[in-house]
Amino acid sequence: MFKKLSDKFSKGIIYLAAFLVMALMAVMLIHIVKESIPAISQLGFKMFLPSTEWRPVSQKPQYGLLPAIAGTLYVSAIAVVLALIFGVACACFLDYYLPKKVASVFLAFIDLVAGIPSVIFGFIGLTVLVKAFATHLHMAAGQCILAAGIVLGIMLLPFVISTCHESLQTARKTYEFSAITLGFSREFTLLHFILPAIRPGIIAGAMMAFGRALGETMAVMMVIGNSPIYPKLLGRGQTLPALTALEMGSIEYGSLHLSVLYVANAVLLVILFIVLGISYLLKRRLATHEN
Amino acid sequence: MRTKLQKFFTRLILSILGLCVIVITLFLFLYVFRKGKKVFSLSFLLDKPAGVPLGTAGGIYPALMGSIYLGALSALIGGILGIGAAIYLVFYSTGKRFSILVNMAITGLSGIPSILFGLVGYTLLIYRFGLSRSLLCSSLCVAAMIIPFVAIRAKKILDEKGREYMKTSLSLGLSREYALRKMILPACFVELLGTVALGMAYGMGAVAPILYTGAVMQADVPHSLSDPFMSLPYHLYILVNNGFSLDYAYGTAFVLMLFLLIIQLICKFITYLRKDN
Amino acid sequence: MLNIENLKCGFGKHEILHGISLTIPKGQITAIVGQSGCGKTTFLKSLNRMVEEEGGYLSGAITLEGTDIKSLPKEELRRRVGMVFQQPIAFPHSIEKNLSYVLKYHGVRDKKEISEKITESLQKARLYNEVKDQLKKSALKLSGGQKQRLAIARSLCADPEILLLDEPCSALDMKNTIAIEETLLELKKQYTFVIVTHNLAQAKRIADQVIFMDQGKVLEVTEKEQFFANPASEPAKEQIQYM
Repeated sequence: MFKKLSDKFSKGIIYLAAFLVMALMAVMLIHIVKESIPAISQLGFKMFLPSTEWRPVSQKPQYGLLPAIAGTLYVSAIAVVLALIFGVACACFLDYYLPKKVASVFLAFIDLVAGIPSVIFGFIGLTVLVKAFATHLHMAAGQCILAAGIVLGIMLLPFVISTCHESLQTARKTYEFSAITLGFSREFTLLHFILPAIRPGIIAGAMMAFGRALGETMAVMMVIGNSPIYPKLLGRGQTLPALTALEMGSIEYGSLHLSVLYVANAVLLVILFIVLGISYLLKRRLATHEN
Repeated sequence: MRTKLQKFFTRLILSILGLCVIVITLFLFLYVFRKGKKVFSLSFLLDKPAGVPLGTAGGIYPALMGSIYLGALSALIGGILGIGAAIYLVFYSTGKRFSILVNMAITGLSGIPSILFGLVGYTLLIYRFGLSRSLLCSSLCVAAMIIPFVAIRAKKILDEKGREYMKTSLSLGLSREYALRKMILPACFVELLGTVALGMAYGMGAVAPILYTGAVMQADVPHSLSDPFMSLPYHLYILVNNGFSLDYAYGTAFVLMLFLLIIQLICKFITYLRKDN
Repeated sequence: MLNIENLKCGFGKHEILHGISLTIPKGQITAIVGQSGCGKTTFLKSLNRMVEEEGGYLSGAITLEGTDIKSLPKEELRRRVGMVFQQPIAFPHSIEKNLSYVLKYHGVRDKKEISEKITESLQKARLYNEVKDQLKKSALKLSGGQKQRLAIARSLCADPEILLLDEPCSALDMKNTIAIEETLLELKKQYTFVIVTHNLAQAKRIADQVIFMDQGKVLEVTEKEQFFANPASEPAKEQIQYM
């Protein structure tokens, strides 16, 4: 039956696609682990000692990853804090103080911001923020951890604003009416009832945003200064993805240096796994609470 | 008294922060458009880069075409795989162990930083498998990046409408595949296409995966899959990082942003029209 | 027609139907009644193996005219044992396409034949007169009652032997309910109907045989008159009292 043949063919393609996607993930994980092994077996803990610096091409090469790890965490933390403050406030501002139509236009607009490529954020960060830092803060060049944190924070805004806005609307529907009829002002309700109610959702969202910030490469690379030293707010720093992007092209295949880069990315994945895992558990707990 | 003060300050702070966000996001677009306008012209779009160093004069045509080819090819590969996996998860899995793995794979892939696709692609495809730095190699890396983007959205689209139709179709004695081919996929076609288009925009803006897998500073419009290519965002990066030309950098950023904006606006517009129906 | 022996069904560790054995007679309307949650819908979904699509398991022997339903390919089974759901679902196409979609799969290719069968099934479902000039219009624009009759027409296009209906009228008003009940009464000689309903009055109106379920078990399988006159089980007596 011709029908049966085309049915089987379609089914086959679908199963093949699903399998390939799964295989892709498996291949990537296996590859990363495999390529990390030389560094782990030869260097082991030395990569994570605070005293080890990052000097891969010197006479006595050192492969200390801690500065880059610290830089990654620091920059992402700044970004998330900034994005939360501005994002939650903006979501409240949109929902409370702007007419519905204007607010929905802006929300659609902010979706477009989410589509701006990382490079362009880095570019604007470089030409505006870094230049401003250099002129007004009397730094040699303006690249620093703070600049990277701010740029990343702006990149996270669309995500924070849209998730926060959704939870806000739901919470308002549930609580606002009863609170207002008891005589509380909208602002009071917001501060004392609604924000606490959406707090778990915001935290879960913040963790997801943190995860995204951890993996950003280009924008950070362009404004952070790319110095593998311990991060100070107005000093240069380095993140794991930027480190990888920077050094990847000039390393021999099969060298220890490359293997260490793989370890760096493996560490990044582990951190991501923990962060996103926490977010997932929080969301699950949120869902069961609501039921 | 205290509550009045609280109310005032809350309003003030929320408004200031909120307006800051609005201003900053508007600024992003206006800044690039204003500065990029200077360089933008038809010849900018259609000429090859010129000048010494290269890129300080002429145009960006090869980079524009390179990005389009890259975006299209990766969206094709990534889109098919992503939608296929989404179809499997929505219609063919029922608690099977395989489906849990596929789900985990998609979630995992969505969290992987884009540079990692480039790193693995670089060592695996170029060194292990011997591919050269080419459109094909980069497309594979970018496609991998696009797969979770498309899969997650496609899953949502298929879930909404598809389940009911599938249930009804099955109870009429029809096969899953027939229902998909004749009923469900055609019904979701526009939205799925929109998702793939957005995936293409996503892929076009990526630099990290193509850094060492195919993008180069100077090349012609790629004629075959094994040609290296220029890419708009990478071109932008080169112009800025090496300090070649800020003006042309703005122009490149302008074109890239405009192109992606147009794709996104078209998709939004189409979704808006469909919602009315 | 449909012989069921020791049917057990459930999801994972949770068993919903605890060993049901009965016969569905041919050419009659069998009503399955009982409280919400007693397993009526699950029982119905076992008969065409739709529970398995939802991740459930099925054990026991069900034979359709002597053939074990597990030995039939699923598409064949569902063609012969059709189903109409509680929520009327129209496909997002014209009325015509809703029906030809089914016909084409089951081998009807000739345009004239398709057109005839469409008319035939719409007439049987008592929808023809209302939509005969609008066959090319979108089915989504039909009212709830019309969509449900369309669903019945659609199921009839597959030329089933039995039609299972899961509370088909609970989302409809009186007028549409009566229209559908009259359809079933008229067609029962040609097809066999099994209808799940929580409305005892409806069962009284149209059923030939009544199956009364409670907590996953079948407590009674009786002829309608006898069931309403003299129910055997306590829960049935209680519910009839409240009619």
